[in-house]
Amino acid sequence: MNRLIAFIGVALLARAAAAQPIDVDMFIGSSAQGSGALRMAYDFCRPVVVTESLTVDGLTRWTSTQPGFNALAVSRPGSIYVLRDTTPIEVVLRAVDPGVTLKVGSTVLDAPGSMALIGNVPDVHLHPEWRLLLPEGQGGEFHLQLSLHTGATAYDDSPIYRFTITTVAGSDGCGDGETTTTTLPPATNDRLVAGTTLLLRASPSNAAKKAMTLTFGDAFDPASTDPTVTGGQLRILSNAANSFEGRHELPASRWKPLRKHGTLRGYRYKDRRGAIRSIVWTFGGLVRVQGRGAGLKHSLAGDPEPVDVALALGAERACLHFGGTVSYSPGKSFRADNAAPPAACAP
Amino acid sequence: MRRLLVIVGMLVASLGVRVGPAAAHHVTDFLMSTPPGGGNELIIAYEFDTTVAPLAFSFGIGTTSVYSGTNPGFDAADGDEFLDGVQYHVFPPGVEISVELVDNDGGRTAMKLNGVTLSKPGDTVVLGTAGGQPPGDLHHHPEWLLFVDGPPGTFADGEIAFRLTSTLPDYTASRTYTLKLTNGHLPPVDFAADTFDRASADCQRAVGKAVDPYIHATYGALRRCLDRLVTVRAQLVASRNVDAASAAAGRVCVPMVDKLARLRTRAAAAIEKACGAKGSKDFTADEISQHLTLAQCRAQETASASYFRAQTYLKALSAKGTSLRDLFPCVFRTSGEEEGRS
Repeated sequence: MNRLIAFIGVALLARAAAAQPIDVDMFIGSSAQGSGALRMAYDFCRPVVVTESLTVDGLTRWTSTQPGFNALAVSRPGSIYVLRDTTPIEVVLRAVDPGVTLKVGSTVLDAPGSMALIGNVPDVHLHPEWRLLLPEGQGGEFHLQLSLHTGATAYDDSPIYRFTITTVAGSDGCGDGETTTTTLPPATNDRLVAGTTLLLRASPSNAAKKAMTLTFGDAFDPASTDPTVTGGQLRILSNAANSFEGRHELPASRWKPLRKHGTLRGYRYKDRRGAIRSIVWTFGGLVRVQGRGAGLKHSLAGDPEPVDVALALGAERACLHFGGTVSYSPGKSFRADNAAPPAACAP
Repeated sequence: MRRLLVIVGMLVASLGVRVGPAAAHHVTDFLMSTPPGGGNELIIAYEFDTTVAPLAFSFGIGTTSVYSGTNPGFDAADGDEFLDGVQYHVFPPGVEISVELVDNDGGRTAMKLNGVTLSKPGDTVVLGTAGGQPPGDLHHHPEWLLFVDGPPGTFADGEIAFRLTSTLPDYTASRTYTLKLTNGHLPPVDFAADTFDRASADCQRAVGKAVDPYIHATYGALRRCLDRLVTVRAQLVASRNVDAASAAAGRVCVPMVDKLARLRTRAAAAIEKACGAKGSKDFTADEISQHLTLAQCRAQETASASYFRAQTYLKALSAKGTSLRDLFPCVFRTSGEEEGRS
């Protein structure tokens, strides 16, 4: 009798220890309770195995609906936490191999910077269509990178997650061991730029009254930079005692060319609902960025000087460093004019 | 001893549940189980009568547009699963469930599940196994497919019928379930989180405001036309001369085609202004077009339900060389209605 109980007890313990629950879907939460960065719990070593759907005109469509996105229902202390209700979650395509697309609801993500709404917490349960279009008879392993974004002020964007899309069942999605990366896609051409003006405003009692204006001389090469294709990112950083860092996605879909008499004169970015409301880049003129709302991450509780700014458009990145001639009103405003170019882009 | 074994059995059972895939079921998915009151029939708890699967354009093949979507998915009760206060049974580990396509609306619909496309009645695929680890588990989302004759923006809906089966003799096949697929339901608007999103709220309001008069106009115009055609029919039955009544019907029915086209253009423009590229950017022109056709279709269906022989009546008239029956394709012919002269 005792031997039987002992045997069953050992068997139960062994089974409990061996069985590691696997996340069926990618569960979305945050790195801290009620704040922090968005993140996903999932075994990213598992590749997305696509299967053949249809071959037409020499092209084969491969698809899969696994894995899906899901809101985390129960926090895992020390790892990932449940998000606040109504938090909107958007998925942003950060990099993609040719032939790979992601259909999220009615939106097809096919270029870096394109994004789509997954849902509002807790109503987040969406299986995208992972899609691959290849010449008939071909297969192999491909990649795409995604991050999560929210307009909710409490959370920052997630790290970038790298997925392996494969036509071969049983392959190892980790490949060279890389599972996720927290770095932005590298800009291959850094430009160290003099800043004309940086104006940050804040209200101690109302975060929605935050505002930002940034102006600097054109630093991008229009021949190799097209934000309507690549989108961009804006980063604002202070390493002063009251440090802050804001990273803002500038999706390609929100950029439009500026033309005059049919000639391309620059690009305009517009997002009436985002933290970055508008950017106007006039070739050979100025780049002017305007932001507003609680989505801006700066804090003026302490003097933020110096403030580093990096605007990346495609493979080019303009880096600015605002210090020196500044005016600072505690809690209300920070203004820096005529900043010299930095020695290097802020890490 | 017996009591001890019962306790141990319960422990094993509860442990078996815990070590399954984490956080399995979602209320938007099909909940697979057996009847809560007992029985060995496989069932799906889901509101099939009141839920449609919204699909979006995926790709084109020649003149056919393929629409796809991934919701709802299949899932199994995971042990503490209540729906409307009812607790559903968990499948014991090892139960294998398959899905069999029963009907696909004359080839207009299909589903791709676990790498297999079910495109004709009788096609079957193994969904997964209870207690299995992904991808061998029971939580899978198919690609629901709808094949539409026409370019993107053409409204269509269809049905797909399927049932669950199991290889184990302990379970009998489910009844046939039918899911409605449509491309006419608009996707959700994307409300901003950091401020009151007036643009998207205005967009949603603009849809309702534009669709309302369009439905009324469609129903009203069709009603007036059918009233005239009923008069023609009544006079025919009485062997009277119908020339005057036919001419009157033509004067009412033919102009409604252009009038409704103008109203549709106006409705689409109003929605586009609020929701399109220059508005909140919530909907594309194709999505708006599909939705307006859905609205028009439902108005036609309702009107035709009030007039026995409605389709036959409309067949007798044409506008710009096209029969009104073809211009109002959602007007139903009631079973038992004779084809022929109105």
